[in-house]
Amino acid sequence: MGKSLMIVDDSATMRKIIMRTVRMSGLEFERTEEAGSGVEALEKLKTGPVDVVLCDINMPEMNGTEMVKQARQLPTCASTKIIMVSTESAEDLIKQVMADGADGYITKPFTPEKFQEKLTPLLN
Amino acid sequence: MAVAGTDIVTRIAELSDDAFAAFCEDIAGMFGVEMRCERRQMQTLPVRGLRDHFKKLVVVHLSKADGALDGTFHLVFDQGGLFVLSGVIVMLPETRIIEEAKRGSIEDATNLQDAAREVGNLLVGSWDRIFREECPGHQHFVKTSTFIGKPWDKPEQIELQANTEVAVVLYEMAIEPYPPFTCAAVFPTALLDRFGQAKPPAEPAPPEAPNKPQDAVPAKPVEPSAPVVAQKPAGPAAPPKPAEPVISQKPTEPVAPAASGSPAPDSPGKVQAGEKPATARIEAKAVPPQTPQPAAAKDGDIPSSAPADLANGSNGVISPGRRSPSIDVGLLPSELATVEGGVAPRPAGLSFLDSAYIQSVPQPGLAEVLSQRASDIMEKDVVWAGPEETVQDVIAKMQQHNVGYVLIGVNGVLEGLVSNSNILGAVSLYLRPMFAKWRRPQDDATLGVKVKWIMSRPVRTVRPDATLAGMIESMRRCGGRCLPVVDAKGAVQGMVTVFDILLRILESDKSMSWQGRPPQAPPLMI
Repeated sequence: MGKSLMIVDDSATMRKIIMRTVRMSGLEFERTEEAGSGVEALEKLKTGPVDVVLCDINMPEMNGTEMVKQARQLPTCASTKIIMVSTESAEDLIKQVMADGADGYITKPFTPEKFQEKLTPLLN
Repeated sequence: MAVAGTDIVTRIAELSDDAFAAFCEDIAGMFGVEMRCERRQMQTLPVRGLRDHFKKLVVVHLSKADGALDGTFHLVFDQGGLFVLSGVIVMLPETRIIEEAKRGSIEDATNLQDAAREVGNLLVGSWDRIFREECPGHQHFVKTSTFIGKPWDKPEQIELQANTEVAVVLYEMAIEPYPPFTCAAVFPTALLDRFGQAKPPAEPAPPEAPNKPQDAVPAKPVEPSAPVVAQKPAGPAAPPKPAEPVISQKPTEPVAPAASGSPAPDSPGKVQAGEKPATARIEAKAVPPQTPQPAAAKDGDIPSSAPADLANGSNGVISPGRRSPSIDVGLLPSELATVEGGVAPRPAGLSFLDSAYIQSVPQPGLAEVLSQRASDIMEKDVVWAGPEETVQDVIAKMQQHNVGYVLIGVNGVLEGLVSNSNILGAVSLYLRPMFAKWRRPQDDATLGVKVKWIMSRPVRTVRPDATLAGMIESMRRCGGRCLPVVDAKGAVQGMVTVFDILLRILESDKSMSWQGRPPQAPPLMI
């Protein structure tokens, strides 16, 4: 069964960059979708499960940490892998969001190889 | 007038060398480009003197520093840097980047403001990393805003005064194959005078702090004629004001206080602090993809494994600038009776099938499948768009939901239908990646066409109790590949596409396993 991916970032440019990098990594997702905010992501996650969520931390309206907390309350997200995408320097934030239920993180600047390294285990 | 010590300016310049080098490496790694940076000059001058170095449009990233460097400094790129860097990260065609780097207008720059802002985020992230590694007492940098325009007549727009004395470290930066451009790190000398007189590291910021831009960026009064302030929009962005410069604000994520972690390994071509040459040259090249190594603990807690196959995707070629002749039509409401009435599945429903197929060994259960109802097989989650939305908006929705059809209407009232074919017929051929080299602004303009001008109408629909055989007959007769399902009041209940029908037919053969959904959305067009 093909996997599904959701990219959550308030920047349309960064969503495209992430999408492109994921594709360059050679990873295949049967279905991909985007969300421009944590709120939008949660609304989409309520409607059905997604295998992997790549989520920015620093977003207006609802930040990534809050989104992770709320996503973990959703029955549809029980097995969803949530990976935070953030700057390397936001170490405290990363620790916090991992404690809140994130499954891992990828730091900027990222490369196709880094995505491959982090996401391949989740797809298997 | 404050005059920073020569050793401090020198030290800051060395840090700038390393920070810009790190930025070049980051961009090279992320986007597969070759990038270099070379220090040209280091001087102290009043802000108005910057006009001599940056005559045309500029992009200025304002960075708030805490720690050893305590205050706001500026990272400035000339017009070439603005368009080349922004264009590279959104993969604009080479010819367009070169053209805009020479003659791009504020309107062109406004179109790239989101990309410019992301460049700033990456840039300040690179700077912050280097300062954490090399500058004791450093706490963090936060990018507070990005300005695009010509600030020198009113430098207050970028939080500077015309006669403020600044230390400027000028660089020539280049990304192959584009012409080199100029960039600079600009530090008020008053800021450098305080360099190293760090406050004690503050308690780490609570997690919520970085996500409140209004907290991270002190509100500043904006004059009526001040530049447009484009905050991160929660919804669709307002139309830009082309004639005015643009400031966008979104702080980068605040960072932890100076970490005690081990420094990163040196990178090839990196200028080392303390070895300052007359001109520092920094180069970075994209590293070819490698087989992933076992997971390092540095970036997360997920182990690695073998790479997956390379994904690819392409679509057929379309004629440029022409509407697709194909129109998705199903049944008009007045024609519903012919489908719904023809409930007798076998004779009426199968009469259209090729006689050879009819005479072949029928698949067990096929007749049963063909008698299934629209309500049994329809996709209930349909995607809607408004008639005033643009082609690009609809492409984005198709990609997000992986659908090939979008219903057009307001408040659930169906007005039209846009298909993948409509999209590909409406947009320029030169938007396709294979023709990107020849892409022009007028090609991009086709993405801005409102969908009401390209949608198929009227829309043929079926009732929920229409049989699958009847729907196939409708598609065959009218040429459409998608039928919205509406109830007696005309409310849309779902949608049946040719893919749904094929899937049901294939599933009727129990010897086959058929899972998944093929890509249906049109290709990415940036």
